[in-house]
Amino acid sequence: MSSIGTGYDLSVSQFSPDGRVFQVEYASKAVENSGTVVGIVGKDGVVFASEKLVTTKLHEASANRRIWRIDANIGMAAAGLIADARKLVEIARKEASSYRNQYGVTIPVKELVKRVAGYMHAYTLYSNVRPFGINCLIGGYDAIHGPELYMLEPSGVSWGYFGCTAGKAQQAAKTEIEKLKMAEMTCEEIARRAAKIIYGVHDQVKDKEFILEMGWVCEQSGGVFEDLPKAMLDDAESYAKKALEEDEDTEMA
Amino acid sequence: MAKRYDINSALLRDLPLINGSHSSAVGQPKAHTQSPSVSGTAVIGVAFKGGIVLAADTVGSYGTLCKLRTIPRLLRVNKSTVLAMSGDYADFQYIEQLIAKKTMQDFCSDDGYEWTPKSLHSWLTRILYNARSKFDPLWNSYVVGGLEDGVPYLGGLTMLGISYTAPYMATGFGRFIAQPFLADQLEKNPEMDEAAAREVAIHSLRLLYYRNRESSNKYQLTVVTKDGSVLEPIKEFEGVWDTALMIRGYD
Amino acid sequence: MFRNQYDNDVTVWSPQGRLHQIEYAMEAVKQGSAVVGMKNATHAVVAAVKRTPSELASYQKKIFAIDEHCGVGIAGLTADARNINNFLQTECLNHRYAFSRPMPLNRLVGTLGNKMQVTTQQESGRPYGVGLLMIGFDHKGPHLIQIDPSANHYECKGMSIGARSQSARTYLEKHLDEYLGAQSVEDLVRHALRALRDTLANDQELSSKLISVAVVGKDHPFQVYDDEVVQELISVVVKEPRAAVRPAQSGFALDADLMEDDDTNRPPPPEPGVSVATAVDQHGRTEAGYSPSG
Repeated sequence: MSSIGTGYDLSVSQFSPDGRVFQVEYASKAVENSGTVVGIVGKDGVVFASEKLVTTKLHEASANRRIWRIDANIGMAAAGLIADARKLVEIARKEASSYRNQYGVTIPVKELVKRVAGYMHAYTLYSNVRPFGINCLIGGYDAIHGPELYMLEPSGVSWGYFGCTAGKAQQAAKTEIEKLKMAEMTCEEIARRAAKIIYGVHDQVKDKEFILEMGWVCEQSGGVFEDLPKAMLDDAESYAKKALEEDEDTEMA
Repeated sequence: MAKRYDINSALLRDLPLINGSHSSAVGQPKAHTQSPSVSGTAVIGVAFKGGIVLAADTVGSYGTLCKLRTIPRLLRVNKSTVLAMSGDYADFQYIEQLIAKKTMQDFCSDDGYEWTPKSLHSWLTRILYNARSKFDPLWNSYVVGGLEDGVPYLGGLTMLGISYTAPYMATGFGRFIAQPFLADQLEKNPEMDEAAAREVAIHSLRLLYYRNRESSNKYQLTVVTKDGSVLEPIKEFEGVWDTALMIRGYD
Repeated sequence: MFRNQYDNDVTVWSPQGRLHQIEYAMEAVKQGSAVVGMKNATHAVVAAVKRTPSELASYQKKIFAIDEHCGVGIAGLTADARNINNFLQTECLNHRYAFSRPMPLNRLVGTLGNKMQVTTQQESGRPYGVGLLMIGFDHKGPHLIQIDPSANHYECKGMSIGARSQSARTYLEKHLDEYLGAQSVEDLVRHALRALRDTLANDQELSSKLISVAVVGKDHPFQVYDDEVVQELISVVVKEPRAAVRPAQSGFALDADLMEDDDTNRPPPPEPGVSVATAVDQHGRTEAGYSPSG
């Protein structure tokens, strides 16, 4: 890499001669080492799925959650340094709470994203801090705005998406998401497809075990962001496994 | 004899204002709100076998003006916890908002940890005591009720942060009018069931209705049992005023 | 020992997206003597190896009560642990004061995690150099939580941190179902002691001076056991034959080199500095030498 050894890649408050901030780019590398997360917008809500890598069987299945509730109808999923993500969850919850306190209504997802992204951006400006090592997906659903999904990057930039992904299998997952006609699908259908994507991109050789973690907010969940109900998660997982087996069979044939 | 200083009584409004929060006279301590504005009068709490019932009328008084006739003074917090307030309505709304904020934090944590009557009672005590210690009291009395680990819990709380538990309680004017009645009823029927407790609570409100110009016959109940908590719709009882003819000396 | 230009500050990402300072802080945990924790359906236990700087000194405290319903075993910089303990105790007290009930463990650890995270993102100061195994009991039952200098925390069934803790983890993985299903607290403690025993050097054996044990559970407030009680607890275990001890490595070796075979891609630990000073005695052991690590 042209950056290494130049001395222009050691501080977040310094540009390289060609106008790049390498420290932010390096922070993004931390995201690429993490398990994959996926977020997809359906016609009636948003679905999150996460590939939670299991490093030891001594951990509880509940350890290391990567999907959180931010407000009643808003969720967040993250890839990268989980400690950083938890900090951002705290920030996001406080912003949502403060908005509710001031205006008496739930914070619009877009407004929340603006505030959280601003916070992340501030950590790319000063040499005495480092950028957040996470990509975070923020999704929500309300009657006025419908389903919304955004992805925030270490640089503090954020974009709205119909489907997005971050983590080690970002590329493969993106290709899979692009095949979906999500605008015509319900969240129940999307949950299955998202599960299939996670199962599909998981690298069994390198990462061995993982736990599929899913969350959603949609009409079916009563407009509340929650873990995908157990029965549906099981259903999505068995669908994923079966669909992947079938795919393999067709390839073999 | 000194004038009776009763923090919960409507009489309090007759106390002189020390000074407003904006202007502190030289040599005077800084003072904040020293009187309530729109306020609610007594609430009743009764524990029965397997649950509790809270009752309150629905008036918001502005001085002696019956300004708001149907405002709820009961709050359903969750399936195990309910709250009743008397005193300043704006302060109650502030508390309501604080509770909602904490409830949302609990909800986001998604860990099955939520308000219980005991924890709400304790927490409100801290808030009211802190406020009064800054000479900026929240002008309320509360009754917190519910089931704590399946056992009926009834907690009272004054604006000074004095907190207590009891099998029955009344706030404000109700302490003089309803509490003796409740004591009598509970003594006669210590193992009260829900129906009896409801009747006793409503009768307490009726006793107050006849004697307190700030009360009304529009009222609300909230009940907590093992099946959960219910905030019931506003109802009305009929006043029987026949005996009014026998009153002499006030005309 | 100069490794690279990206490992001097916690605010500098390496081109690979790593934070070397955090990784080095994780190494500090391994300089401390081992701590083992595990739980069953009703209780959680933690057991630790205590060190002494000399025969004339007392043994270092390894297990600390936080509140009636929880406590921690620590490995790494003891002074850092004191700071953390103080924070945890204050959090628990504040929660009790406000709500008249114990603070849930997940929330306690969440606030600690976010406190520790700050030290991993700003230039001033450094990350904490201590790992914790927290045990506790709340409305969800018994808990065992591992907390790292990286500000990560993990809900565990069994776990071990500190010097040679890999041996204990091997035991914990092998006997997972046994201790999870243990019928009595005594059984649970014995599993902890066996796991802890596997971390001891060849010439060391469980003894009442060397070991601390703590238990918390249903209707069982957090309690640390030392001396006579420990003597009784270890009496059964010491009679059992020891698990095969890994062959001693020749020459001088830091604890960190002896363990962590699951972390082969980690960089070697940095030159011992102020934060991770380690005295290696002539037998190549750190146990007997002075170390600020507990």
